[in-house]
Amino acid sequence: MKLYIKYMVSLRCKMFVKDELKRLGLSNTSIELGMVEIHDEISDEQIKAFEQNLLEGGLELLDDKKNILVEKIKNTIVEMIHFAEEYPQINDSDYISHKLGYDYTYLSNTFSKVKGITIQQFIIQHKIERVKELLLYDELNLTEIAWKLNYSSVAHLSNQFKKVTGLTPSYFKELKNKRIKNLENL
Amino acid sequence: MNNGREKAREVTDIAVNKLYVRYMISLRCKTIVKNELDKLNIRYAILEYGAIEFFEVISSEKISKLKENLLTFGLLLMNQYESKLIDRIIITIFEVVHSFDELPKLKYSEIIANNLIEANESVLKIFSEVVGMSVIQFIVIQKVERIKELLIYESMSLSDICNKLNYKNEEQLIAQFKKYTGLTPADYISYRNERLRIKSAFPDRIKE
Repeated sequence: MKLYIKYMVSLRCKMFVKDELKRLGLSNTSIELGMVEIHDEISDEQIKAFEQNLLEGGLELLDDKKNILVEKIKNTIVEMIHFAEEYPQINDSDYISHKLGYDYTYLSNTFSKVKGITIQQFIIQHKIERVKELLLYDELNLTEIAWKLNYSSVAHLSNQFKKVTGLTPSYFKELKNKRIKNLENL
Repeated sequence: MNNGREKAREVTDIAVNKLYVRYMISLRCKTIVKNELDKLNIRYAILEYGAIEFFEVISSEKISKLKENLLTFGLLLMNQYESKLIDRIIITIFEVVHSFDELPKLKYSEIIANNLIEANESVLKIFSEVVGMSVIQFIVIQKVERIKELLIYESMSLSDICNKLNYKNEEQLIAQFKKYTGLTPADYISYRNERLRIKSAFPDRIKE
């Protein structure tokens, strides 16, 4: 069961949530900022108690409707970046807003309060993950990658890559070659 | 308040049995590693910064088999000693950023060097090949995490945070914060106020 939590936006919040779950005897969990996934069966009383403890710490469980919405925002982004044949040619915000049928500002506020980052930032992080994959596994050059992921230029892509990883795309290409060398040494 | 080590444990699980994988730096690499671990029936978790955590004692034959299989994808399973070195860097950064009252004015490379048993440049180089980002970037991200907490839990002013974490001025801090989260410290201050509101409303909710 996945639960999204509002204002759980720092490492200390994460530790707090983990402790609260443990106190309720729930230790088989995956926790990230803004979200817990509970792998064991959980009773209604346990959820109630958990909710109370969170409130005491200034954190709030999302209601079902918003839970689904945040999940949908994440899925839409992952789908569009990692699985879609073609990256949408319109603005990311227009695309998401249109796809989910909500005003973008509403979506963005809801998302940020849960994840502690903006939708735009979440998109950037996923795009860079995708760029990494394309650099490591596919025979695409930077121009082709920029084209594929709707960057305005190679420079734009390189800058964003550097901002997120602190490394250059060419450094990553280099790693690909090192990996190939490992293979040859087999 | 010294909770840097505790936080480091939270993210790296220092006490447990784990090994880092060099070049496991994209989602697809992680999928490959997962498949290989599944094939060998090993119970595991893939941790955030390029490590595999083993939930059971693994025989050395199984480890060699895993190593061999990963190598066919160009992925290098590091040994215990190398893994400890990477761990040491990560823990040191956590301790320095999260637990010191004021960030030391030393260069980061010096801090790391002082804390490593066997520090040399090559370890720092390997770091990027394991974690998929530069050491400096890793430090910046931890600093942003610390800013979040100082804003939310300590209600500290921006100018105090600047001094504490060695930023030249508030503009530099805001810019770095924004670069990583897309949000401003002011957004986080409003989250803090929301949280205080929730907390203060709490006793009433019990009475209901």
